[in-house]
Amino acid sequence: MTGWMIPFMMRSIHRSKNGVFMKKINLIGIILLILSVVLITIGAYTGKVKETERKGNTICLECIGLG
Amino acid sequence: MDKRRKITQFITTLLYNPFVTNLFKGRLHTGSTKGVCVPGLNCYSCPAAAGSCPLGSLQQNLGNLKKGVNTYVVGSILFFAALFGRFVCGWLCPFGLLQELLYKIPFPKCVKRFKYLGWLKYVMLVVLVIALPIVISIEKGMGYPAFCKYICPQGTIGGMFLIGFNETLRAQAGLTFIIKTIILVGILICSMSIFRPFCRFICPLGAIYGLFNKIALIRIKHDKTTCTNCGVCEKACPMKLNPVTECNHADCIRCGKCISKCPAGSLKFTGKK
Ligand code: SF4
Ligand code: SF4
Ligand code: SF4
Repeated sequence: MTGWMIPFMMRSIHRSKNGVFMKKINLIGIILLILSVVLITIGAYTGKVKETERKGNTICLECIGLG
Repeated sequence: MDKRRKITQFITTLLYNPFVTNLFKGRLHTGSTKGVCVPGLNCYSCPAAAGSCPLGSLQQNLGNLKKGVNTYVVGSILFFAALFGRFVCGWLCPFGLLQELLYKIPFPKCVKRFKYLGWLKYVMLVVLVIALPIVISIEKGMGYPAFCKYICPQGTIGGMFLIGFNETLRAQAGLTFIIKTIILVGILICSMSIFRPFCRFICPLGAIYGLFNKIALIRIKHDKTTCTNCGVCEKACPMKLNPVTECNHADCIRCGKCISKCPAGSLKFTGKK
Protein backbone atom coordinates (compact mmCIF):
# COMPACT_ATOMS: atom_id res chain seq x y z
CA MET A 1 0.00 0.00 0.00
CA THR A 2 1.44 3.35 -0.92
CA GLY A 3 2.15 5.65 2.04
CA TRP A 4 0.10 8.53 0.74
CA MET A 5 -3.06 6.47 1.12
CA ILE A 6 -2.68 6.06 4.89
CA PRO A 7 -3.97 9.50 5.95
CA PHE A 8 -6.80 9.09 3.45
CA MET A 9 -7.78 5.72 4.96
CA MET A 10 -7.50 7.05 8.51
CA ARG A 11 -9.88 9.75 7.50
CA SER A 12 -12.47 7.33 6.16
CA ILE A 13 -12.10 5.05 9.24
CA HIS A 14 -12.69 8.09 11.42
CA ARG A 15 -15.71 9.00 9.32
CA SER A 16 -17.28 5.54 9.56
CA LYS A 17 -16.61 5.31 13.33
CA ASN A 18 -18.11 8.73 13.69
CA GLY A 19 -21.05 7.62 11.55
CA VAL A 20 -21.84 4.63 13.81
CA PHE A 21 -21.49 6.81 16.90
CA MET A 22 -23.82 9.42 15.41
CA LYS A 23 -26.39 6.76 14.54
CA LYS A 24 -26.33 5.48 18.14
CA ILE A 25 -26.81 8.99 19.49
CA ASN A 26 -29.67 9.60 17.07
CA LEU A 27 -31.26 6.34 18.17
CA ILE A 28 -31.17 7.41 21.84
CA GLY A 29 -32.70 10.76 20.86
CA ILE A 30 -35.46 9.06 18.88
CA ILE A 31 -36.22 6.60 21.71
CA LEU A 32 -36.50 9.47 24.19
CA LEU A 33 -38.71 11.37 21.79
CA ILE A 34 -41.03 8.38 21.42
CA LEU A 35 -41.07 7.94 25.20
CA SER A 36 -42.00 11.60 25.61
CA VAL A 37 -44.90 11.26 23.17
CA VAL A 38 -46.11 8.19 25.09
CA LEU A 39 -45.95 10.14 28.37
CA ILE A 40 -47.80 13.10 26.86
CA THR A 41 -50.51 10.79 25.52
CA ILE A 42 -50.91 9.03 28.89
CA GLY A 43 -51.10 12.47 30.53
CA ALA A 44 -53.74 13.62 28.07
CA TYR A 45 -55.87 10.51 28.74
CA THR A 46 -55.58 10.79 32.52
CA GLY A 47 -56.72 14.40 32.75
CA LYS A 48 -53.27 15.90 33.36
CA VAL A 49 -53.70 18.49 30.61
CA LYS A 50 -56.82 19.78 32.40
CA GLU A 51 -54.85 19.84 35.65
CA THR A 52 -52.09 21.91 33.99
CA GLU A 53 -54.70 24.20 32.44
CA ARG A 54 -56.43 24.72 35.78
CA LYS A 55 -53.16 25.72 37.41
CA GLY A 56 -52.26 28.02 34.50
CA ASN A 57 -55.60 29.76 34.71
CA THR A 58 -55.13 30.67 38.38
CA ILE A 59 -52.70 33.37 39.52
CA CYS A 60 -49.71 31.65 41.13
CA LEU A 61 -48.97 33.84 44.15
CA GLU A 62 -45.49 32.32 44.58
CA CYS A 63 -44.54 33.18 40.99
CA ILE A 64 -45.45 36.84 41.32
CA GLY A 65 -43.80 37.16 44.72
CA LEU A 66 -46.88 37.26 46.98
CA GLY A 67 -47.00 33.66 48.21
CA MET B 1 -28.18 33.04 10.90
CA ASP B 2 -28.18 35.56 13.75
CA LYS B 3 -30.90 37.61 12.06
CA ARG B 4 -33.03 34.50 11.58
CA ARG B 5 -32.51 33.62 15.22
CA LYS B 6 -33.51 37.09 16.43
CA ILE B 7 -36.68 37.02 14.31
CA THR B 8 -37.53 33.56 15.71
CA GLN B 9 -36.95 34.79 19.27
CA PHE B 10 -39.27 37.78 18.78
CA ILE B 11 -41.98 35.69 17.10
CA THR B 12 -41.78 33.08 19.87
CA THR B 13 -42.05 35.74 22.56
CA LEU B 14 -45.18 37.09 20.89
CA LEU B 15 -46.66 33.62 20.41
CA TYR B 16 -46.13 32.82 24.10
CA ASN B 17 -47.56 36.23 25.13
CA PRO B 18 -50.18 37.37 22.61
CA PHE B 19 -52.57 38.97 25.13
CA VAL B 20 -50.52 42.14 25.52
CA THR B 21 -53.47 44.35 26.47
CA ASN B 22 -54.00 42.18 29.58
CA LEU B 23 -50.74 43.58 30.94
CA PHE B 24 -52.53 46.84 31.69
CA LYS B 25 -55.71 45.29 33.06
CA GLY B 26 -54.14 43.55 36.05
CA ARG B 27 -55.66 40.14 35.27
CA LEU B 28 -54.62 36.85 33.70
CA HIS B 29 -55.68 35.51 30.34
CA THR B 30 -57.62 32.31 30.97
CA GLY B 31 -58.46 29.61 28.45
CA SER B 32 -57.72 26.13 27.20
CA THR B 33 -54.34 27.14 25.71
CA LYS B 34 -53.02 27.31 29.28
CA GLY B 35 -53.03 23.52 29.13
CA VAL B 36 -50.12 23.68 26.69
CA CYS B 37 -46.58 23.76 28.09
CA VAL B 38 -44.33 26.10 26.09
CA PRO B 39 -40.66 25.09 25.64
CA GLY B 40 -39.06 28.23 27.13
CA LEU B 41 -39.22 29.95 30.51
CA ASN B 42 -42.45 31.96 30.33
CA CYS B 43 -44.52 32.44 33.47
CA TYR B 44 -48.17 31.34 33.35
CA SER B 45 -48.88 34.13 35.80
CA CYS B 46 -47.86 36.76 33.27
CA PRO B 47 -51.11 38.50 32.23
CA ALA B 48 -50.16 38.24 28.53
CA ALA B 49 -49.25 34.52 28.58
CA ALA B 50 -51.16 32.03 26.46
CA GLY B 51 -49.48 28.83 27.67
CA SER B 52 -47.97 27.27 30.79
CA CYS B 53 -44.40 27.35 32.04
CA PRO B 54 -42.83 23.86 32.07
CA LEU B 55 -40.71 24.61 35.14
CA GLY B 56 -43.61 26.04 37.16
CA SER B 57 -45.87 23.13 36.15
CA LEU B 58 -43.17 20.64 37.17
CA GLN B 59 -42.78 22.20 40.62
CA GLN B 60 -46.55 22.29 41.09
CA ASN B 61 -46.68 18.59 40.31
CA LEU B 62 -43.74 17.65 42.54
CA GLY B 63 -45.42 19.55 45.36
CA ASN B 64 -48.56 17.50 44.90
CA LEU B 65 -47.38 13.96 44.21
CA LYS B 66 -50.38 12.48 46.02
CA LYS B 67 -52.24 12.96 42.73
CA GLY B 68 -49.51 11.03 40.88
CA VAL B 69 -46.83 12.15 38.46
CA ASN B 70 -48.05 14.59 35.81
CA THR B 71 -46.82 12.54 32.85
CA TYR B 72 -48.02 15.27 30.51
CA VAL B 73 -45.67 17.89 31.97
CA VAL B 74 -42.75 15.44 32.32
CA GLY B 75 -43.39 14.20 28.77
CA SER B 76 -43.51 17.76 27.40
CA ILE B 77 -40.17 18.67 28.99
CA LEU B 78 -38.64 15.40 27.76
CA PHE B 79 -40.01 16.08 24.27
CA PHE B 80 -38.40 19.53 24.05
CA ALA B 81 -35.17 18.23 25.59
CA ALA B 82 -34.83 15.21 23.31
CA LEU B 83 -35.68 17.18 20.20
CA PHE B 84 -33.97 20.52 20.83
CA GLY B 85 -31.69 20.39 23.88
CA ARG B 86 -30.64 23.98 24.57
CA PHE B 87 -31.68 25.04 21.08
CA VAL B 88 -34.75 26.16 23.08
CA CYS B 89 -32.51 28.60 24.97
CA GLY B 90 -30.91 30.05 21.87
CA TRP B 91 -34.02 30.36 19.76
CA LEU B 92 -37.25 29.86 21.71
CA CYS B 93 -37.01 31.57 25.10
CA PRO B 94 -38.23 35.12 25.87
CA PHE B 95 -36.03 35.53 28.94
CA GLY B 96 -32.97 34.56 26.91
CA LEU B 97 -33.94 37.22 24.36
CA LEU B 98 -34.38 39.85 27.06
CA GLN B 99 -30.88 39.19 28.42
CA GLU B 100 -29.37 39.32 24.93
CA LEU B 101 -31.02 42.67 24.22
CA LEU B 102 -29.67 44.06 27.49
CA TYR B 103 -26.18 42.82 26.57
CA LYS B 104 -26.33 45.09 23.50
CA ILE B 105 -26.44 48.18 25.74
CA PRO B 106 -23.04 49.90 25.83
CA PHE B 107 -21.73 48.95 29.28
CA PRO B 108 -18.37 47.57 30.52
CA LYS B 109 -18.34 43.91 29.42
CA CYS B 110 -17.05 41.03 31.52
CA VAL B 111 -15.91 38.20 29.25
CA LYS B 112 -14.74 35.72 31.92
CA ARG B 113 -16.20 32.23 31.68
CA PHE B 114 -16.93 31.64 35.42
CA LYS B 115 -16.82 27.90 34.70
CA TYR B 116 -17.59 26.70 38.23
CA LEU B 117 -20.48 29.12 38.71
CA GLY B 118 -22.19 27.12 35.95
CA TRP B 119 -22.80 24.31 38.49
CA LEU B 120 -25.11 26.60 40.46
CA LYS B 121 -27.97 25.96 38.02
CA TYR B 122 -27.82 22.23 38.83
CA VAL B 123 -27.98 23.05 42.55
CA MET B 124 -31.04 25.21 41.81
CA LEU B 125 -32.59 22.31 39.90
CA VAL B 126 -31.97 19.68 42.57
CA VAL B 127 -32.69 21.80 45.65
CA LEU B 128 -35.33 24.36 44.64
CA VAL B 129 -37.14 22.61 41.80
CA ILE B 130 -37.08 18.98 42.95
CA ALA B 131 -36.16 18.48 46.64
CA LEU B 132 -37.88 21.37 48.45
CA PRO B 133 -41.26 21.08 46.67
CA ILE B 134 -41.35 17.34 47.46
CA VAL B 135 -40.10 17.54 51.07
CA ILE B 136 -42.23 20.53 52.11
CA SER B 137 -45.36 19.14 50.49
CA ILE B 138 -44.87 15.90 52.46
CA GLU B 139 -44.25 17.81 55.71
CA LYS B 140 -46.89 20.50 55.39
CA GLY B 141 -49.28 18.86 52.95
CA MET B 142 -49.25 21.79 50.52
CA GLY B 143 -47.47 22.64 47.27
CA TYR B 144 -44.25 24.63 47.50
CA PRO B 145 -42.75 25.84 44.19
CA ALA B 146 -39.52 27.05 45.82
CA PHE B 147 -37.73 28.26 42.66
CA CYS B 148 -40.80 30.28 41.61
CA LYS B 149 -41.24 31.63 45.12
CA TYR B 150 -37.71 32.84 45.82
CA ILE B 151 -35.82 33.25 42.55
CA CYS B 152 -37.59 33.17 39.21
CA PRO B 153 -37.21 36.63 37.64
CA GLN B 154 -39.59 35.78 34.80
CA GLY B 155 -42.47 35.45 37.27
CA THR B 156 -41.53 38.76 38.89
CA ILE B 157 -41.90 40.58 35.54
CA GLY B 158 -45.48 39.29 35.20
CA GLY B 159 -46.04 40.04 38.88
CA MET B 160 -45.02 43.67 38.40
CA PHE B 161 -47.83 44.17 35.90
CA LEU B 162 -50.36 42.34 38.07
CA ILE B 163 -49.39 44.24 41.19
CA GLY B 164 -49.15 47.53 39.29
CA PHE B 165 -52.63 47.30 37.82
CA ASN B 166 -54.52 45.28 40.44
CA GLU B 167 -55.19 47.01 43.75
CA THR B 168 -56.17 43.85 45.65
CA LEU B 169 -52.89 42.18 44.75
CA ARG B 170 -50.90 45.34 45.45
CA ALA B 171 -52.18 45.33 49.03
CA GLN B 172 -50.61 41.87 49.54
CA ALA B 173 -47.12 42.74 48.27
CA GLY B 174 -44.51 42.31 50.99
CA LEU B 175 -40.95 41.20 51.71
CA THR B 176 -40.91 38.27 49.24
CA PHE B 177 -41.89 40.59 46.43
CA ILE B 178 -39.12 43.02 47.41
CA ILE B 179 -36.54 40.18 47.48
CA LYS B 180 -37.70 38.89 44.11
CA THR B 181 -37.59 42.38 42.62
CA ILE B 182 -34.01 42.85 43.87
CA ILE B 183 -33.04 39.51 42.26
CA LEU B 184 -34.71 40.53 38.98
CA VAL B 185 -33.00 43.94 38.90
CA GLY B 186 -29.65 42.32 39.79
CA ILE B 187 -29.97 39.84 36.92
CA LEU B 188 -30.99 42.56 34.47
CA ILE B 189 -28.04 44.78 35.45
CA CYS B 190 -25.61 41.83 35.23
CA SER B 191 -27.02 41.03 31.77
CA MET B 192 -25.67 44.34 30.49
CA SER B 193 -22.17 43.23 31.41
CA ILE B 194 -22.22 39.41 31.24
CA PHE B 195 -23.78 37.49 28.35
CA ARG B 196 -26.93 35.71 29.66
CA PRO B 197 -25.92 35.38 33.34
CA PHE B 198 -29.25 33.83 34.33
CA CYS B 199 -29.03 31.16 31.61
CA ARG B 200 -25.41 30.34 32.40
CA PHE B 201 -25.54 30.24 36.18
CA ILE B 202 -29.10 30.02 37.50
CA CYS B 203 -31.80 28.65 35.18
CA PRO B 204 -32.89 25.10 36.13
CA LEU B 205 -34.79 24.71 32.86
CA GLY B 206 -31.61 25.43 30.92
CA ALA B 207 -29.88 22.91 33.21
CA ILE B 208 -32.41 20.21 32.27
CA TYR B 209 -32.12 20.92 28.54
CA GLY B 210 -28.32 21.07 28.82
CA LEU B 211 -28.23 17.50 30.13
CA PHE B 212 -29.72 16.42 26.79
CA ASN B 213 -27.47 18.59 24.60
CA LYS B 214 -25.29 15.72 23.41
CA ILE B 215 -28.16 13.42 22.45
CA ALA B 216 -30.83 15.87 21.28
CA LEU B 217 -31.81 15.39 17.66
CA ILE B 218 -30.93 19.00 16.80
CA ARG B 219 -27.20 19.17 17.56
CA ILE B 220 -24.06 20.70 16.23
CA LYS B 221 -21.63 18.45 14.37
CA HIS B 222 -17.97 19.20 14.08
CA ASP B 223 -15.96 17.75 11.20
CA LYS B 224 -12.45 17.13 12.51
CA THR B 225 -11.20 16.30 9.04
CA THR B 226 -11.75 19.78 7.67
CA CYS B 227 -11.15 21.78 10.88
CA THR B 228 -7.91 23.76 10.82
CA ASN B 229 -8.00 24.55 14.55
CA CYS B 230 -7.88 28.23 13.76
CA GLY B 231 -9.78 29.19 16.94
CA VAL B 232 -12.23 31.53 15.18
CA CYS B 233 -15.23 29.62 16.56
CA GLU B 234 -13.99 29.86 20.14
CA LYS B 235 -13.63 33.63 19.80
CA ALA B 236 -17.14 33.86 18.34
CA CYS B 237 -18.86 31.84 21.09
CA PRO B 238 -20.81 34.14 23.44
CA MET B 239 -21.10 31.33 26.03
CA LYS B 240 -17.27 31.17 26.19
CA LEU B 241 -17.07 27.58 24.95
CA ASN B 242 -14.65 25.98 22.54
CA PRO B 243 -16.87 24.34 19.92
CA VAL B 244 -13.98 22.10 18.80
CA THR B 245 -13.21 20.49 22.15
CA GLU B 246 -16.61 21.10 23.78
CA CYS B 247 -19.00 20.48 20.91
CA ASN B 248 -22.59 20.22 22.23
CA HIS B 249 -21.46 21.14 25.76
CA ALA B 250 -24.33 21.47 28.27
CA ASP B 251 -23.97 25.26 28.10
CA CYS B 252 -24.18 25.48 24.31
CA ILE B 253 -27.40 27.33 23.44
CA ARG B 254 -27.09 26.45 19.70
CA CYS B 255 -26.93 30.12 18.78
CA GLY B 256 -25.02 29.16 15.64
CA LYS B 257 -22.47 31.98 15.86
CA CYS B 258 -19.60 29.48 15.65
CA ILE B 259 -21.22 27.88 12.60
CA SER B 260 -21.53 31.21 10.77
CA LYS B 261 -17.97 32.22 11.60
CA CYS B 262 -16.12 28.96 10.82
CA PRO B 263 -14.06 29.69 7.69
CA ALA B 264 -13.64 25.97 6.92
CA GLY B 265 -17.35 25.13 7.21
CA SER B 266 -16.48 22.45 9.78
CA LEU B 267 -19.39 23.19 12.09
CA LYS B 268 -22.97 22.51 11.08
CA PHE B 269 -26.36 21.76 12.56
CA THR B 270 -27.34 18.08 12.26
CA GLY B 271 -29.33 17.48 9.12
CA LYS B 272 -27.40 20.13 7.16
CA LYS B 273 -25.06 18.88 4.40
S1 SF4 C 1 -31.50 28.99 30.33
FE1 SF4 C 1 -33.62 29.31 31.02
S2 SF4 C 1 -34.02 31.50 30.79
FE2 SF4 C 1 -32.17 31.01 29.63
S3 SF4 C 1 -32.90 30.70 27.59
FE3 SF4 C 1 -32.81 28.67 28.56
S4 SF4 C 1 -34.85 28.32 29.44
FE4 SF4 C 1 -34.67 30.51 28.92
S1 SF4 D 1 -13.62 27.98 13.24
FE1 SF4 D 1 -13.92 26.08 12.13
S2 SF4 D 1 -11.95 25.55 11.36
FE2 SF4 D 1 -11.64 27.08 12.94
S3 SF4 D 1 -11.27 25.86 14.78
FE3 SF4 D 1 -13.43 26.32 14.72
S4 SF4 D 1 -14.32 24.55 13.70
FE4 SF4 D 1 -12.16 24.46 13.29
S1 SF4 E 1 -20.73 26.60 20.76
FE1 SF4 E 1 -21.49 27.69 18.94
S2 SF4 E 1 -23.71 27.35 18.98
FE2 SF4 E 1 -22.92 26.82 21.02
S3 SF4 E 1 -23.16 28.67 22.23
FE3 SF4 E 1 -21.09 28.71 21.37
S4 SF4 E 1 -21.28 29.84 19.43
FE4 SF4 E 1 -23.33 29.27 20.06
